[in-house]
Amino acid sequence: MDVAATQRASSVHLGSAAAASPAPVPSNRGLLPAPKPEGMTPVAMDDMSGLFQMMADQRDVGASNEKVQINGDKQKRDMEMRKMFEAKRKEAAARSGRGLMGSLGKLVGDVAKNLVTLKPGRVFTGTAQNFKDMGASPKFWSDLTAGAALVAKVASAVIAAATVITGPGAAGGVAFAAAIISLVCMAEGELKILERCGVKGAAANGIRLGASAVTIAMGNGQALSNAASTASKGAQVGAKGAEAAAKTVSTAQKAIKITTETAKVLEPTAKSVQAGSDMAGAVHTRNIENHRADGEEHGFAKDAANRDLELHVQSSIEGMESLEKLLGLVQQTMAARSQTTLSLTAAIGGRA
Amino acid sequence: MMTIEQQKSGTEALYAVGHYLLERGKYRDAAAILRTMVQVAPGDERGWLALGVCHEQVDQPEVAIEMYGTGSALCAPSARCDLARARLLRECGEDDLSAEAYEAAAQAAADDDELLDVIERERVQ
Repeated sequence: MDVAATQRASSVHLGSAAAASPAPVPSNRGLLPAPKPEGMTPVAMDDMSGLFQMMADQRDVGASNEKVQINGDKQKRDMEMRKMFEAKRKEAAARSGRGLMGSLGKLVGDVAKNLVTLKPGRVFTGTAQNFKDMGASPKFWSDLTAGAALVAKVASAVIAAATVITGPGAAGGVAFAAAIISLVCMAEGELKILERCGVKGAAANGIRLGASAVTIAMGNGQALSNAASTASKGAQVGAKGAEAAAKTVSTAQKAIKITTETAKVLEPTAKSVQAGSDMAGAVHTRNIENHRADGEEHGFAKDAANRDLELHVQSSIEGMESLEKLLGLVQQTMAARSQTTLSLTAAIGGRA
Repeated sequence: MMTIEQQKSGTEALYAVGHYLLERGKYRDAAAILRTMVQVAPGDERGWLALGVCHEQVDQPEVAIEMYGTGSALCAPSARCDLARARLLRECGEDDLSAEAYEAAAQAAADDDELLDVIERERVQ
């Protein structure tokens, strides 16, 4: 039997006692839809591919210098073109600001900075007044400030109430926390964070997060009641009885406020979307100018357009590195915290 | 104030870049882009799907389940997120929960015959 036939046979579910191992699970990569070209100019779509290929090439090989043929008339013409494109480049740089990742890096960096300096009530700037009445459980709050990732764990049991209070903003709060989890776990290369949540077989925790969030109730008082009931039930299963149950309800109520404030922090992320659009626009401009340069054979025009793009690329790389570094501090601080709050959040999730 | 069109364009740019990086095996870079996307467009299932795939590719299935689960909740109904989650749960040996996820995916895919067919074939395996 040839190799192909062997492979086909092994993937067929025979449905008998002598069946081979279960059919392999298809890859989830196949579920990803293709990017929509109508959302961007087709030229910009092509150049996004070229953009990152260029990043990889420059990192691996180093930029190469083009030699420019110089002769009398051409030199004069090139100088004029260079001046024009330099002016355009400066204009584009002034318009684009921080760039995509730079904007996001600043946003998350501001939050992370407050987190790692452990200033209770000041994690979300401008809202100190709202947290003055959180003194009832300062240890819980100081633990919670150690990692924004915990917001997702706690919020999963109370998201119904948070939705009622904050509307669509609660989705942003959960998304923010999930993004923190993703970044920390990706950077760490291990599942230390989920393991520290006390989950044996972290898949269970993921299940609870998704399952709990699905119980979003659109009613008003019923939502808060459901959330408290969920938290209480989870505590009774996994924690220390009535005392723990009372604590988790209190925790849930605090989490509502935390989720609300998290949502407010996310508003500035809209600026990063603008920066992303600017990047796409700069790529598009580069491509147009390169085409013109090809037609007119002006080396300086190409160079100026590429420098424009490189500014955006470098800004993005620096922003990404800054973001990773800052949020690494969040992870380190989380690792130094006690397990008390983590155990509570695991209980809230209803994990046995 | 950003216009709706500007936000849509930015979101598409983020997904296009993230998708490109993912397809070329740059999972960590893709994840950085996609984390931005899920925050600016938490209701767009593609960001959660792609972010989960990134974590799968770096051998972090539990985190991937977390991403699929969050996407399923925020983008409900999301047949793709439910299906992705169901697959991973089955791989992790959580058959009961996988069955629940397949059921949720089937319900969410009621209007998508092709996807529903895939779900129905997988859930009986």
